[in-house]
Amino acid sequence: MKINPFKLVLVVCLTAAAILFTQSSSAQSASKGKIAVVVSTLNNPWFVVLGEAAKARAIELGYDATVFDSQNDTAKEAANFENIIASGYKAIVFNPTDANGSIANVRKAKDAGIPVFCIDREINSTNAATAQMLSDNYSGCVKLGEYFVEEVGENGKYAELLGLVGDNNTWNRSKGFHSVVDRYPGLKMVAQQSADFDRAKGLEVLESILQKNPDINAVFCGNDAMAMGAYQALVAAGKDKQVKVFGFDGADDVVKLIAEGKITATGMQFPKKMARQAAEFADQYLNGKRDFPQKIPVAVELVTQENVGKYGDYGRKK
Amino acid sequence: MMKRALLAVVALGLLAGVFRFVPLFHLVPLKQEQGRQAAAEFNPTNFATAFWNDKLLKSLDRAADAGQVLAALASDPQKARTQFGRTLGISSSTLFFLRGTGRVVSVTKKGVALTLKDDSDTADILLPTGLLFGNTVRDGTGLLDASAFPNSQHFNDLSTELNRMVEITLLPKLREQAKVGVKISFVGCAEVTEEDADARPLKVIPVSVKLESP
Repeated sequence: MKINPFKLVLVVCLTAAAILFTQSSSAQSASKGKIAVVVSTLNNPWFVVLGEAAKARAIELGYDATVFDSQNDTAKEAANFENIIASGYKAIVFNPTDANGSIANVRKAKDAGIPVFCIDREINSTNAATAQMLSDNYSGCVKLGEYFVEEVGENGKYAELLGLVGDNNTWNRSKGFHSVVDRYPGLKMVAQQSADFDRAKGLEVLESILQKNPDINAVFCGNDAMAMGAYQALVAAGKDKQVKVFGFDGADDVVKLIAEGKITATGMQFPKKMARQAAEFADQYLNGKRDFPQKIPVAVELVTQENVGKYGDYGRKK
Repeated sequence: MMKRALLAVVALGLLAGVFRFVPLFHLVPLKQEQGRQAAAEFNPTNFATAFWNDKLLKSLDRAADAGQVLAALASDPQKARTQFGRTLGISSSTLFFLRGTGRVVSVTKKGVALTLKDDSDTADILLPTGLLFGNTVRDGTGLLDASAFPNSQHFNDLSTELNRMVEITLLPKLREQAKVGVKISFVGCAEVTEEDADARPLKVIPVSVKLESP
């Protein structure tokens, strides 16, 4: 058989083109583009759940998704945004590091035509992000404050561990709690210090507070990581039966300790619900929707030893 | 020598005179400056007062009939929510803005209990008279929108102020004058969770009350 070299080259070229075309269309059908999930820190299991839930939902919706860790550092967050903008991401699900310091990053993305959906933490602007889905920290801590008074009584001494001082959540939680507890003059706050939402710092700070104030009755912590650290400090000091610990987040380890009667209460935020909804908003935006409410509060529920059976896995049990 | 000294004194005197009227700097107490900055940012007391007088009191007729809301909550809570209530963001609670007239059936530390029916002594409504907390008043009317506040701390400060206004302007009158048998017309806000949709009496934080003798 005689083979025409011209025809052979033509067949090879057509086959190659067909393979390339098939690959490119299958890639297009497999992914609708890339969504970035930028999280303030992955050094806290609660934020890992938040980031992974957003990523998982984005993938379910047909996108490639990547989680970026800002390590609670606005400079790292800015670098993440530069990278995301340069790399052709279509939308950003964003958990900011700083209510004021993160605005510029959101604006940069907006100017580049990339919509940003804030989750859990807000930025102090209503015209930069496309929408902000935020736990109602204030209301959640009003409920915690009311339960605190029921459990501790109208007289006693307590300490407060604050989160990051540049984050609105820190102050919304603290203000919600104090809007109740400060109405009872017999409840004295003997120390109020930041432990940056960090478990190890929570342990250190409460150890130091206990040295000066060994007779406290309770500690209110602005998140569950600090509550875990505080509880460890109390166990080490042999005061875990004497001092009631209150947290905020609804982290699994704290919910388990509430069930065991070791921690008194926490506020259940719904990180999975928030993250999934934000990824869905990103998808809706990319499909043409534009009329999103700027701020969407997500209710926080009080978890106590009486109702702890209803909660687990960062939400309500189904 | 004398002449130079005299000139120097005159020059210093002139400079002092100029700086007296055009000072190089001002000394201001730190607290005063912090207060000025805070006021320039957001003043929850002023905002709450303006909201109360200019919006809330002019919108009382928007409140739903309390009897209808209670009947709807008892028969079909879901329908009651969509027909009369509003849910803020993602929540299992519903807020109601409602009005009615009832007869006092009991006065306790918790508050003033009212029945809305002429032939019953079962309490339908509880007007609390103690300390008030939370966002029910701020959010119950539907007149304020979280999206209008860049910093949620300001929006939350409003709750504290509105609760304080109710505590100061309405609750003392209720505590002093509400007696069993007295008729009270009220407008107020209530929050109902999924679990206690048909719980009675319904706790309504009043934003307006009028008491009539029995």
